[in-house]
Amino acid sequence: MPVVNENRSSSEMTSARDKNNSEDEKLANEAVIEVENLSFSYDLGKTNTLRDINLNIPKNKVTAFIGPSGCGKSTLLRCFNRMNDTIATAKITAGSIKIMGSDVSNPRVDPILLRKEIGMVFQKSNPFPKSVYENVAFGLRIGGERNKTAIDEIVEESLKRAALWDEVKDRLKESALSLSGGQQQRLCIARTIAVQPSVILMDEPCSALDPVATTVVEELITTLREDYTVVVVTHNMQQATRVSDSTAFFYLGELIEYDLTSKLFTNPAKKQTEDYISGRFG
Amino acid sequence: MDSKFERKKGRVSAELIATLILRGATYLVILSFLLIMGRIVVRGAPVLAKEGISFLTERPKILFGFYDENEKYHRLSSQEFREYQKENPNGIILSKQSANYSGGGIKSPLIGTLFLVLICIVLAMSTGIAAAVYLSEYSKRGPFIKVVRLAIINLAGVPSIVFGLFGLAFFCYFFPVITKSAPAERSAKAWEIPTWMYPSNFADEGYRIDMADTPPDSGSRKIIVHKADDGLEFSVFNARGAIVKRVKQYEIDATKPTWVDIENDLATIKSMRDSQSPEVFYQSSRTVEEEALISKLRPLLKLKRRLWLSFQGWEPSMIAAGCTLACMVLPIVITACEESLRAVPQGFRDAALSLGATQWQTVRKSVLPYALPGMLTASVLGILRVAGETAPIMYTGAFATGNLPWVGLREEGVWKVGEFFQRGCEAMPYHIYILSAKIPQSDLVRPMQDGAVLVFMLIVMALATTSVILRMRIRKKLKW
Repeated sequence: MPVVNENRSSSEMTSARDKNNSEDEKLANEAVIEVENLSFSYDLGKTNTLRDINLNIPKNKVTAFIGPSGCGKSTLLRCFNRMNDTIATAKITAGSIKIMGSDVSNPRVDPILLRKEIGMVFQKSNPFPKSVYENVAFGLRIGGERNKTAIDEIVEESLKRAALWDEVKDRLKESALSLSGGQQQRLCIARTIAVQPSVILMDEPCSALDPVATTVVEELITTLREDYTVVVVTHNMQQATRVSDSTAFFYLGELIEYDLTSKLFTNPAKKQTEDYISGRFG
Repeated sequence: MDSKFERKKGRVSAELIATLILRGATYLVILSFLLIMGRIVVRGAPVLAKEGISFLTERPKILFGFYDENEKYHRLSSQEFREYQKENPNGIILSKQSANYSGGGIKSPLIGTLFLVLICIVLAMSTGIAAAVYLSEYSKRGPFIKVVRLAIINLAGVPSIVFGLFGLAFFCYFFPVITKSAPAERSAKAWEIPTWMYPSNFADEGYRIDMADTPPDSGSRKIIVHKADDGLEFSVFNARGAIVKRVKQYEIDATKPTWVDIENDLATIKSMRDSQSPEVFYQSSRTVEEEALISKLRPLLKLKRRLWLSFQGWEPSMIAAGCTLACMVLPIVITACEESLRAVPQGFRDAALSLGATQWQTVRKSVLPYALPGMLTASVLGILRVAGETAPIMYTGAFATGNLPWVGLREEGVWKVGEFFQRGCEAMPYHIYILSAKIPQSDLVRPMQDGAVLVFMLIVMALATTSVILRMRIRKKLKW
């Protein structure tokens, strides 16, 4: 099972990690995303928003990032698909991120290719003001797909995969904005799936949804793990326990604890984690 | 009353004075608006009512005012005056006065303003949208962008007369242009464009052969052939009516074609010309015979087609005035466009980028389509307001002319589109300036002044109102 580089802030700890046991070895092979000693800054290194993060995200599992606002969990998520590139002063100041074995913090990496492999779903559902069909087809069209039957097929498949097909199959030509909030968010998930990524990053996907819509999306997330590696950022600790296999707790830009969800929430190793999950702060 | 809440006397009056001053200032605004509008309407409306639609559809003409033998006063435009004279050949005309541009209507300034604004819209929108997209979607914050933004803000504050003078210096007398005639003296630097770079369909200059001894009208290129003592003499005129070349027969070594040929050709053309009335002849395009003779003469007279790239500007012209206006509205357009771009939710950009779109795909597919309606309305309406500016155009392209800008451009059956833009035109604000400050004032001029001002005010007010209404509508619509 996936475990776990705990937060190692000293070089001594890093060297300790080098003497990895056989179980760690196995983990490394399974990991889709490997983060090593990552530090990240929004202001060209003056202050580090993320400090010395180490973690491996296992394949075909749901990993939850929890922590109070401003702890850097969304920032880390946006490092994975280089969405931070849109900010001129954002910079990885130390360490590396390997995705499926290749370093993505390298400036020679093409973020366009990377983002086709790593889809993202945002906090606020953001369908384009186009038809349902065109929303799902968007990624294919910009990828240069012209074949109408191929697009039709992928659109249907993606909508089915996002558990939305039955609700929208008769209104594919209607505006996506006419859908309900939960449907819009699932549409965004379908849109992401249509590009056929291997990892889906979700940045608080349910925070703008009502409880019923949240349940539907959460159920969807748990089924997505069969085909995708999912990383979910969430404020909602119950949600983390419901959907995730492992959970990382961030606090003030550092990874405090990363463990199996069942272990982290029942028997946290760190005092700060315990305080946070028991609601003493955050 | 003996209450501790009783109003103190002194405070009431201070309150009253403050209210009165503030209210007075507000009323002053309405008062000045009413005074200006009232005066314009009261004086302009009767003129419009009397002249009717012809006020908008007739070109400005000379107006004559005089008493006839019955001491009846007549106000007649030049054309009407000629008719009057024809009808009353023996009529007595007393204390005749005349005033330029005071008869007819305001068709040519209206049309001139329309063209200036159109040129300005095309130039300012294309540049402004591109700059706004760059600033809002591509540029990263830095000292350079700060300088650019500062420049935009400052550009918006430059007085319009400065734009006018800048336009005169830059667009009229310095801007690099491609010219068919030799570079002007003022040209800062000129290069002849090598022949291989000419477009394949580069049109012939279109010389026409003429045998008259009078210099040609400007606007047509001619070769005038006349008999001199020592044989034929060829004078080649450019479009401005200036002689660019004069060649004597004996100066040319002409074994082919022989002079007899040329003289025969000339005789043919001349007889053709004589058989037609001059008007008909000049309206028709060049005849086959003329074409043939010109192609014979071209090598002899060395009528080479040449193009220059010259830093000499367009001279005062519609294009120069349009460019000046475009510079002036650029900050408005950029600001309006950026505002519309900002109104597009960040989520659209994030979504497109996260799906693997390039920056350009993101802009083109998920930002521009949603920003464009707002961009177009906001900036077009911002631009329309410069329709009222006089200073930027008075040196760069506005002329006191009653002529429409395309008059005389159909030369030899072909519309000269390029030359059209290099002509000056009349424009509404400049026309009003001319009417009220540049021609001798008399009772003859006044109706035209009043009518023109009223029409102009109505147009500008209509545009301003539409701009406000449309902007409000678009703001409402721009919610996602």
